[in-house]
Amino acid sequence: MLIPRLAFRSLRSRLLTTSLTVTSIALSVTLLVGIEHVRAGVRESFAGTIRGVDLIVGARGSGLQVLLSSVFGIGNPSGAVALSTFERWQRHPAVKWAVPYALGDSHRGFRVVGTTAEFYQRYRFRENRNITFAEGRVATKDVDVVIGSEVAEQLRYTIGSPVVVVHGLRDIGTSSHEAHPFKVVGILARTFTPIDRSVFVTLEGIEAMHDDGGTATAGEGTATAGEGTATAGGGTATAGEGLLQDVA
Amino acid sequence: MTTVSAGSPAVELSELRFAYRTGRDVLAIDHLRIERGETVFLHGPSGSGKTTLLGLLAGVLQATSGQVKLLGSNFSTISSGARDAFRARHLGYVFQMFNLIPYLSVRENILLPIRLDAHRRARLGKVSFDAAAQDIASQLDIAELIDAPISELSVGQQQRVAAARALIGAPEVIIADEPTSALDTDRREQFLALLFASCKSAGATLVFVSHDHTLMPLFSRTVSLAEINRAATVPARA
Repeated sequence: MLIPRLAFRSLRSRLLTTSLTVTSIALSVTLLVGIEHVRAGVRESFAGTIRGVDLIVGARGSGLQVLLSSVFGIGNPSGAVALSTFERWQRHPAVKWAVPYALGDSHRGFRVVGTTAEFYQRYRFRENRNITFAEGRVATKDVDVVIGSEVAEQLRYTIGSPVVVVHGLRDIGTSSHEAHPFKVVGILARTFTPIDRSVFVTLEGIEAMHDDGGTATAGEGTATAGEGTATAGGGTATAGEGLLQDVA
Repeated sequence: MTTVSAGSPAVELSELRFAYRTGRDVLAIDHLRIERGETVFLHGPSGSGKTTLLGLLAGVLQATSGQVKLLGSNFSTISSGARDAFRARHLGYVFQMFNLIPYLSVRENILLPIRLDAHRRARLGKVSFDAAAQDIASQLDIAELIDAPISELSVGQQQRVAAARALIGAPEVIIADEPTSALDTDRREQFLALLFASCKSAGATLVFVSHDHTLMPLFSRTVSLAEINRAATVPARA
């Protein structure tokens, strides 16, 4: 016990220096562990935004732009993909499932995505979790709207709230589709992905909206496709690239 | 644990060689023997290796070659940990620069040797730690400073604390490196009287290094380092 006691007395006689040393070591370790933790968390948060998707198909242009505009809701899509193109992909033997993403519209700063019922079923994120509904149901009719949790919170929407969609990504009123008012039929549970800040309508809804007015082209956007069979998968890779080049 | 063989001389050096680094030998002593109970006055010019020799005797330094035996134990063959334990049990060392522990009080400094070794503690008999410290402190005239921090003591007082620490527990060998250099004449006589008395009552051996040749007659034996150290024929580094 003598040696530990002497060591303690020695440290105590230099209390200021000892405290500074201990504090700076504690601070360094905290910074190191903390920053590493945040880094891993941010990375996981980013990577976990979408899962189980093998291919994201968009118009010719930057692949990064396709990814960012579709999955992360950042920026504009690079161009238009015809609905017929999407349907051709959907029917392809190597494609198990395909989900369309029609972009280009917004509602009060939140982007509007036109998609099918398949989206709600197929979209996975984080550790392979599904989209779940906090309230309501899937959008089926052309006036149906399903909103993400953050949209509901910020705009204080409930089931039945009216929604007016505007063309373009910002609410600057270049072209408002007032003639075609939507109603909220479903509110999604929180996912901590860009889905929370999105508003989902059906493809029919997008079409009906643009028929009434505005200068949007039909079927603007991207498509996501699910996996095929093992052997065909390899084939899809090269064939897929060829197809992508052809899309106008 | 090394044991002390009864009847062996206090100190026996043979063919001792020591160099600090692989360089010139600082010490080269063919033979030196000190019997138990002797009081030895060791002198030599500055830089001649007196403190080095004391370090070897205390087991703080290890000889480059040759044998260093204390109380029958051969320092050359045991580990440095074992030498430390031997020193705690059988030696009292008064350092030239005191080497007191600055963050402990006078009492705690004095009590260190008997806290470190149980046998040394046992030699005191049934007295408490405090009583033992008080006793030796009053013999050296520092009793009233017993709880003072070291930083508040004068040099002379510190030297007496160092001496008290070396003497407590009646060790068999006492090594003193210039222990009276900072003391005034009265205190010096007092100190030497105590020192000799302690040594006599315990049957201890004293190795005393000093410049002060006036003290020489008080000792049973005088050793000139320059004479026994063959390496001293080469001029010492300043």
